[in-house]
Amino acid sequence: MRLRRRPLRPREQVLGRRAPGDSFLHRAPAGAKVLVLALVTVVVLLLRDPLVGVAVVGLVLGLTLLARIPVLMLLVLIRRLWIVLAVLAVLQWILNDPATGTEVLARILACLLAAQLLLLTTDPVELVGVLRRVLQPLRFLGLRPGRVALAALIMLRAVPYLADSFHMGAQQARARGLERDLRARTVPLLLGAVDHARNTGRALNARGIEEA
Amino acid sequence: MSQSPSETSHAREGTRRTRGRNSSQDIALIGVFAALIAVLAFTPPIPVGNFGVPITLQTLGVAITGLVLGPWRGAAAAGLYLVLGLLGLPIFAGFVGGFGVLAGPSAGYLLAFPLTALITGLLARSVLRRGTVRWQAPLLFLAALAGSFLATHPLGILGMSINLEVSLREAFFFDIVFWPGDVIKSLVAAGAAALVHRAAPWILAMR
Repeated sequence: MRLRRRPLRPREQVLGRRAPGDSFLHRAPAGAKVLVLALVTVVVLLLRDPLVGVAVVGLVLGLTLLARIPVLMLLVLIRRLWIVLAVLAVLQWILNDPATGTEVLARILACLLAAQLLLLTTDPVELVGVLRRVLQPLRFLGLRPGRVALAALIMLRAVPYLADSFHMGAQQARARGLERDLRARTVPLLLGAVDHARNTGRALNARGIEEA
Repeated sequence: MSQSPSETSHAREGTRRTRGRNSSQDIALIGVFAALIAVLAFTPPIPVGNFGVPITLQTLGVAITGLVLGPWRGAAAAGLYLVLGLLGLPIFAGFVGGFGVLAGPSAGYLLAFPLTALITGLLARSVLRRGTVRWQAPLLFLAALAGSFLATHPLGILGMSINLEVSLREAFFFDIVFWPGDVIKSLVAAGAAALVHRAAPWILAMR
């Protein structure tokens, strides 16, 4: 038997990428963290000052150290996005003066790193709870926060399932020599998604669940 | 937030005509298709065709959602994806999430998604109600293209122009890069959606 040329890579984990620990950031209520993140983003977006952007980046790094979260878990974001960031840097260098370019890059980095810090210390299910609370004022419009929360929970559950299904579809397409055929790679995923939705809907109906 | 208009009309419809409607099934479809958009957004660009042009699948999910679910449920699914991503779930392309994306170059594209799904869904629904089966796939292709060029691209250009401090003209030229891929994605989405409507007619039968 031939040896496997490519080693088995760990599956790309999507949700639940939490930093270990039980710091003050982990214990803070999710709603408060979302609120702070929203305020920081608005301030950075409105002020458009390179100093503010750099200051927020520093603040995020400081908080990370203070909460004893591995800084590498935060900076992994830059490794994943380095192509986008590099293209942006080149574009800014060509089109704008250095001050504006620094401001744009610092602004984007500050907002993304702050969001990453929230993510590292918060459970996705808590975020669904926040969504539900945010939507409460819209009840008089006929919106039912419970239903939205149920759809959000179904989504959280479906993401790993569909990611697996997509991965398998890609392998099947490769086995048929169709790895460059977009249809061969997406149609199985789509039909799998429809099937999953059908089964989920049946399960909810059988239990009489309409909201979470 | 952005999905409130869709959800409200949804609820109103529910009270008006209850026959043949199934809200649990609708909720399941909305949740699963929001997840579908997320999964397609995660995939690294894949080489397509003889030349191996890399194509990202982020907008493919939005087009498929509109074409398959119709206007209101489609917009609700895209809105759920957008709102959860903004709240901090890492479900945008590159495993990014949070309000931070509003500062990035793709902000306009992301905010356009519910509108894109709505426009595509409205056109797709009328095609599926009136059109003959033979013309279904080509007309769905036009519906997907219309949604993309009426909502995604204008808002995307606007977002780039604001966030990257460039003129609308320059942003327009950045945007042109995405057009060929967009046509290919619309073709694939139309073919796949026509297939789904034949294989699972219950999705629209409940409408």
